[in-house]
Amino acid sequence: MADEVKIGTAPFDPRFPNQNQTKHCFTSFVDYKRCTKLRGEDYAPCKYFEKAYNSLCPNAWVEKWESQIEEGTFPTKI
Amino acid sequence: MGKGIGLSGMTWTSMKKHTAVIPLYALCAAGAGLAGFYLWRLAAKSPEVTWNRKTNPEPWNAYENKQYKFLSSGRDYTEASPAPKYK
Repeated sequence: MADEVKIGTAPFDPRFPNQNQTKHCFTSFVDYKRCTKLRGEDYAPCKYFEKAYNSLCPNAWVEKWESQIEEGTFPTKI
Repeated sequence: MGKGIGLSGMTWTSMKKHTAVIPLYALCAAGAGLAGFYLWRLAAKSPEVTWNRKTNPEPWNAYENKQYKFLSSGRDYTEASPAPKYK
């Protein structure tokens, strides 16, 4: 096989210790948006948040939030 | 106005006449105390509760390296949250 692809999910975060990871998903998404806004798209630590919300969040939610951001109706300040 | 039962059950002297009720009162008070304590703990310490959204907008950040659960086998919470700080 070619180089083994490392598969993983968002690591354990003590702030969200329970089975319900909704807040973890939403916080990772918001942190990604804030991180890229503050530090630019290529800032490496922002990739952690991108990987986290892509693993944790249902795609439908991400699409909904992205369209809300475009319309300016996203509920949280970025 | 009838005579009523007066302060029966609410004063120490009236309780002496029905001593079996005293453990009942004590356990009820203890149960109410535990329940009240747990409600206070939820209101004051829960990682998902904030009383002032201006000064504490993200209450879960207080638990980056401590444990809220009473019982969480085997997991070391003192390692900091893996999320990088970017601010």
